Amino acid sequence: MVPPLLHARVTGRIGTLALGFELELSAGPLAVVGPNGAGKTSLLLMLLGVLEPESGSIELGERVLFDSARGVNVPVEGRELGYVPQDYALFPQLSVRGNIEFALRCRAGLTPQDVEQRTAQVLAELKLTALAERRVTALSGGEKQRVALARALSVRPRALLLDEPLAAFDVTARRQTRAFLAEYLSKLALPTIVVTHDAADARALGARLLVLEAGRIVQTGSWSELQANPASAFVAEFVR
Amino acid sequence: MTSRLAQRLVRRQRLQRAVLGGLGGLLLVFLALPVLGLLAGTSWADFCAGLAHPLVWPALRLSLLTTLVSLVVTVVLGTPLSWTLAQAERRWARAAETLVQLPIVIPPAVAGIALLLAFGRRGIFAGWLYPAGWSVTFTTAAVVLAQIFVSAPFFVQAAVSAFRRIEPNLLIVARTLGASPWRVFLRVALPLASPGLAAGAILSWARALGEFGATLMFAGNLEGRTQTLPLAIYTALEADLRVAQSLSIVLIVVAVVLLLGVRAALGAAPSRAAAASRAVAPPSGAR
Repeated sequence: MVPPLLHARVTGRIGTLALGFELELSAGPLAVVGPNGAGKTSLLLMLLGVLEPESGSIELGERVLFDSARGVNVPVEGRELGYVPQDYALFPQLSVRGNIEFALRCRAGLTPQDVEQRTAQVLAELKLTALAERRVTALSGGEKQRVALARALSVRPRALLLDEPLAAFDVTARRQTRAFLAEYLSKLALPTIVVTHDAADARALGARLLVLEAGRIVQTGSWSELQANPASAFVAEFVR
Repeated sequence: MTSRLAQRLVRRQRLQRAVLGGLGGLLLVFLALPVLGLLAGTSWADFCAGLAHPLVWPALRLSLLTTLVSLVVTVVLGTPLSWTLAQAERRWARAAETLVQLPIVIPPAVAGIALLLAFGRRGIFAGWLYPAGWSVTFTTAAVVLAQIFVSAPFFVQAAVSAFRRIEPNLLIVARTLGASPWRVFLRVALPLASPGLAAGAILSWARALGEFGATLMFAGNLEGRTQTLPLAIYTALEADLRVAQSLSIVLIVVAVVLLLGVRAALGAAPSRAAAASRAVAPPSGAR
């Protein structure tokens, strides 16, 4: 299956920050980096439909998700975007299986057999079968992350957005999880955006980087392109 | 540090503890004494004799019935209101929240007058509400209305803050998974807020059970129809103090049980801080 193209060109205002960006991506993860308060998470929330841009458009494949000129604004639940927030946001009252079944039950037209089968499939895919009946509050950070990924992917989103997926890990675990995530995301063949403030994470996870400073894109390109020709002091420091 | 200086610091700390503890202790004793007085001043025989009085059972039955009805109405209507207020960020929502809290601070007697002027026989809606002449005042329904008016704010306040404590990302993620706003409310928000809702319901029930002033003014003190436990205590005070004492003890026992219920419900609530610390729990490699 050819991955859909995610294209967004929007401007908006979040509190005092004027946020404007244009991005286009197909398969292969894009790392969105930048200092604290640059608007990285807001960028994700605008794509998701949680924050409404003032103007511009967001398209995913042939679908228009947002278009200020035509008055289109597809609500969050209709955008088919997978989202893994920094804290993973697993439903604490549910088991691992419950979290994934919750997602699948949101989809119309799935029979109970479909739900069961698909749950088993994603659990196996992310090596969670043995943990299926555990409460998510009893899981380690890495396990939580895999559940969040499994839950987001179970409903077959058309793009995947991850916010600081490795922020909760200490140094040792971070390296292992980074390697797992880099391999997993590269195999997914989905437009994927990974927000991170960490250079090692950005380099490992993102085929391309997009640098956001104070709500504006200052540079996009591969790690080596940024290294060869940094557009700002932040970029120079980041890729050093 | 010299040992003399250390000693002085220790002394100062002890003095501070003694002064603050002593002042606080005064209040604690003052709060405890009336309850002790009530319990100590009522013998078992008095208690039983008091409970046998004909005032008691109709009042107890009426109190249970009316508070149950007002609790159901409060929860059924208060939960949607609280969710709406917790979600809304507009100025009208803040204004509505303040309005809802108003009955907590206005005196019950004033609440009674206000209810009379709104829903009474000569109230502003009388012509529209009572074309046949019948009116709600001095009926059991008036007792329920008075209880809802004074107690619902406690539920709404607790419920709004329970809904606000839900991690916003949980609601966002649920929607990205395709959950409709109904499903988000029923399957995510309600279960997560349920300990707070339960605590609010108990608080509100306790307030309704103790309601006196507004009931007296709006519903009157009619035995079997509007005479709830607090009104029966008031009536008994003139006839037989033992009856008042027995009923008071019953209400205190109920209050203590309800208070423990609130604490248990809130103790079960996963706080945001706890949830945050779980998010940074030791990763798999560290196990």
